[in-house]
Amino acid sequence: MKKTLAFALAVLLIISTAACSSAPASTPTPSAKGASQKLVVAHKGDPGGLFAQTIANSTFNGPLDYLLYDPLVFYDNDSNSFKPCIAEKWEQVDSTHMKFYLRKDVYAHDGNQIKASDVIYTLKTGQESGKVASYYDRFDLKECKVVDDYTVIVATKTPDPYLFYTLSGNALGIVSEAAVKAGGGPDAQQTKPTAGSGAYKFVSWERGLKIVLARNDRYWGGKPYFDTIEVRIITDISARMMNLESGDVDVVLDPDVTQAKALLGNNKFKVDNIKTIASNMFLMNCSKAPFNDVKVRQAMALALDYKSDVEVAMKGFGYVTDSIFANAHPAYAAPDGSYTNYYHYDLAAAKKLMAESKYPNGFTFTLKYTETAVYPALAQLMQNQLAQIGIKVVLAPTASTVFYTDAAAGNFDMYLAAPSFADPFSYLNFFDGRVGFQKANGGCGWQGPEELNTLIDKAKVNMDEASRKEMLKKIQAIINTNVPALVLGSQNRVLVAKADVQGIKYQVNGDIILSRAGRK
Amino acid sequence: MAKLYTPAMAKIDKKKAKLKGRIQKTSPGREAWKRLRRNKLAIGGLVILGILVLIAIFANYIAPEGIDNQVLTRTLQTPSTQHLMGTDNFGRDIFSRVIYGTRISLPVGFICTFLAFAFGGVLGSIAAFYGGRADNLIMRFMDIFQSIPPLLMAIAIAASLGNGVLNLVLAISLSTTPGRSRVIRAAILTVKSNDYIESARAIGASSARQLLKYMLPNAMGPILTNFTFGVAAAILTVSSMSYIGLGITAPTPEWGSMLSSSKELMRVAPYTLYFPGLMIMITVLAINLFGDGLRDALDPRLK
Amino acid sequence: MLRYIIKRLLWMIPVVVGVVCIIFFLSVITPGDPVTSLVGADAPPEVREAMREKLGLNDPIYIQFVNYTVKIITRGDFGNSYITGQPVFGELMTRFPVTLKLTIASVIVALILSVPLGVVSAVKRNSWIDNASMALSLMGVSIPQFWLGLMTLLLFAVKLHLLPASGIAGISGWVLPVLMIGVGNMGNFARTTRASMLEVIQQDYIRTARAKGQTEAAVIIRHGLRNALIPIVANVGNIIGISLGGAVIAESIFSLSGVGQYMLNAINARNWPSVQGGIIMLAIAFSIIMLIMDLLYAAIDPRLKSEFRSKGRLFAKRKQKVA
Repeated sequence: MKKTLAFALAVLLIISTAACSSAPASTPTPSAKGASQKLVVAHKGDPGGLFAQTIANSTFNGPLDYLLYDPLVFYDNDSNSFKPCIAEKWEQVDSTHMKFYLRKDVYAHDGNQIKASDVIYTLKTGQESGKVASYYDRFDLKECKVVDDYTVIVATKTPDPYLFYTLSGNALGIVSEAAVKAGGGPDAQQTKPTAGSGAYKFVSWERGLKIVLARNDRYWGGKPYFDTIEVRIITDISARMMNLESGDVDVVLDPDVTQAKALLGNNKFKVDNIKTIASNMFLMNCSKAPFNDVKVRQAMALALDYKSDVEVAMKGFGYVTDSIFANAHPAYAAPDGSYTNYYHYDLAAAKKLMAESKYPNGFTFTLKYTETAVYPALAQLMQNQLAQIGIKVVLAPTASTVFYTDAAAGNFDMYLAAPSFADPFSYLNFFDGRVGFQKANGGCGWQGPEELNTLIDKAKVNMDEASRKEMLKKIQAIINTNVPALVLGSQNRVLVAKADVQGIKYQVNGDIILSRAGRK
Repeated sequence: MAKLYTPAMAKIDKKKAKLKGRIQKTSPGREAWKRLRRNKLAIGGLVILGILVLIAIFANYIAPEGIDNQVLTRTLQTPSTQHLMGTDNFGRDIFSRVIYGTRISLPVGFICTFLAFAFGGVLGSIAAFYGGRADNLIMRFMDIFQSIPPLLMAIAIAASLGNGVLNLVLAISLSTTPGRSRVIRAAILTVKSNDYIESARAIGASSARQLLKYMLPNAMGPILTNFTFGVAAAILTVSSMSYIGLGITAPTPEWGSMLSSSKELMRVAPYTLYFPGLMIMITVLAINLFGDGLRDALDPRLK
Repeated sequence: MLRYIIKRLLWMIPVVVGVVCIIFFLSVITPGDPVTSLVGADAPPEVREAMREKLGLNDPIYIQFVNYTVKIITRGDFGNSYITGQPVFGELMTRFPVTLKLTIASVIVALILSVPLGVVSAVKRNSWIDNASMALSLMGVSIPQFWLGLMTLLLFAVKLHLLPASGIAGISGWVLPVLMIGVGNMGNFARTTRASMLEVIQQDYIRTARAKGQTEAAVIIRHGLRNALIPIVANVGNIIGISLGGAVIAESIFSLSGVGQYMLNAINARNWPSVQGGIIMLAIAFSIIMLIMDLLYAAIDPRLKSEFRSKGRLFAKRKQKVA
């Protein structure tokens, strides 16, 4: 009797546990290509949320933001210029005001029309949340004005020569105020966005599995090619690639470079290899020893084997850099011999400089980095190469939460990061002694000469391209000679796809834009 | 006065006889060693372990290169006579790194287990010795601790302590402490009721003396067996933790962390994955073989 | 009986409180600011501060602790994820089944394959079957799980293209992860079965049964296996517990979105509500599984039945005397 009861209860418990567990349906197998046009994209992880104005921007969000939202202008990487998007034309009012004329046929996914007031609402929401400060802090909201339903004036706090790079970014997708309100406010929009006017609209999101988008039939730019875009979350870097080869997915974002290299020359697949503006920077804490000794810094720059390192770490999907700005950056000025450049490999010269420095016998320091992308490889390469001039590097892979806190607190000897700002002055915060660790969220703690500060201040508000470029060239000369940071190559944006997928575009910072993709 | 010979007295006599017998006969330890020696598999395991220890000691003579000898012109070469196990992404000789890896996995696994037994030993023996409320309190606390899967516990602890060998050792030993305390408690409980413990108590031995001199040595059999298997498990845990990036990090040639950095190379250079994994398996296998032999030798009923 | 179960279920409350304590302690000593993953690396300090305030991170730690524990016990509210702002409970419920299915499937598969193997090994001791199956079991418990996962992935997905490399779209997606966790369990069960079977078949009642002229198969299965199952059942609970945690690695290798993967991400992002929620849920699941196992145990082993009777002491003693 008791025995049966015990059994019955055990069975009951098992059943109830099993019942609790039947929540999500299993993923349906992907339908065969052909009849209905569907694009399956392998992505590395869930985005933080789908409403860019009130969430920290990350590479997880970018590709989805560009599908769901359209910004005012669109960067075309083929012609390296800005093309109309929601704004069909624009004109400069003065150095801080820009007038945009909007299209009259732009509708948010819930049916509300996008008008001039929505542009202001977008800027206001983004600035107030503070989550994407590097994009939104520049706008002067008091000066932004609605002229009429389809004309808006966007104002910046200071003249901003790089405004369009910001305006075309994924965090600046224009949202409809009415749609946000109807959809339950920004928080609700994070998981169920309805306020964008992008080529594809949101259908469903199973966290950790997939996000499904459907064609926006009212899209102003003509009928988008695919009925459905399914963004599958496949966290494992090798698994993303295997799914491409087995035919389960069409496009792989962030593939492993070694694996991408193996696909070069395979006519079933295509490998996009797009230069980006982000360079890998080893930022030194120059406010303390030993990095307050300029000879040490110069010696370290000379000790790195740039060419081999870039080849080993990036497998050809990257290029060697020789200035604090990557070669593809709009502010880059090639070293022309007017100053001594240390960003090249010369071991003998490095040893000589070390011998002349305050640390002829070397020293030990800790390098902090996050364990993503090419950082671990770069860290190990630099560790090995600095050992040749007697410098011992302790590698400290750090969780990103700790990493950024430490960087902003100046709590590091050296850290490795590859920030990607189209606006060169966001980079220059790292090298501007007046800014400080906390405000720049990192940097070098390096006090440059007064001349540098004056140049930065002048160049920042200079709307004349030629003279600004001249100033930026001088700025780079000063910084490059002093080497407050080592630069070790710029990694390209790599994307692999089935050979018939075409029309994938890239933002200037390397973000992937899939909204115009189609098939041959 | 034969009338006064009570059953209690008989019991004491028996005990005395038993104690005498124990002294005259060969010690149980020697017995067990004899049995162990006859077990070919166990000796095989021991020999492999011995070889691994020798490799660890003489690694710098055996390995043709250092652990971080990057030669960027010879990256990802397949195994050849020059590089027995090929070269990795940085042009380092994998064979050399695998050899040096013995210096990490074996001692780290051993220390993790030792610490877990030390922590668990204190808690378990207090629980078993005093029983009652102390036992209840300690064991209920262990229950709570143990309801968190040990690997996740180790991950959480390692994340809060940060990377590094010491932190990893602490994380693994803390997360396995409850299990070990249980083993020791059970082992002591089985010997606690034995006659010789009662007699020790009768002659007024202090608690500490009872515990250390009489109980622990006699409970050593199952503890030793469990310890051996514990080392094997710890080596596996160390490598899994390094694999997910929470343990020993590059360029230290820990086998798990070597596998972790080779995972992306699986498709282009699968040979980078073979050898570190194989070495972990051989090491763990050797320890388990020895542990099996030890168990059979100490508990001959099963053989 | 019922009282025993209720008692065991009530015991989960101190378990939850204890687990919350442990994780809270860890969250206090862990460096890293959860706000970073929420507001982004380049947020100005005042935004960070506002976010800290909003999340209640500026409250004294004991207030946070009491608030959290009370919410869980009274309302089953695990709080919201720092990262997504979604309720942790909901996020866990979509992932928990994956982990649970993976764990249970690997244990069941291991049991089905290994128990017969263990029995045969014990009965035909020192035969080639015994030697081969014990060698295999030893390999099973010695092979690093994640390496086995990588190797099978390499062979079946990369080289042979027989099985998918990731995802659990169909049955085939489950094969490799289940195999990865199952092989270790299999080795474990086979070894336990063999050992306990060996002990049992030396007992008197087996000899008695044989003497009564029952067929060998009946003796082994009816009398032998039944008694030999007891230590195995005791083992299953523990193995499930270990596998629940071990599933983390399988989930990471095969890109399955289970609790383990979720918690690994949460730990890295210092997303404490998610870590807490995940661990509490696993702890509760583990407690329930242990309870089920104990009930099964009672059903199999008549000697233990008395433990479940509240007033069963007398009965137990009598029973012992009879035996």
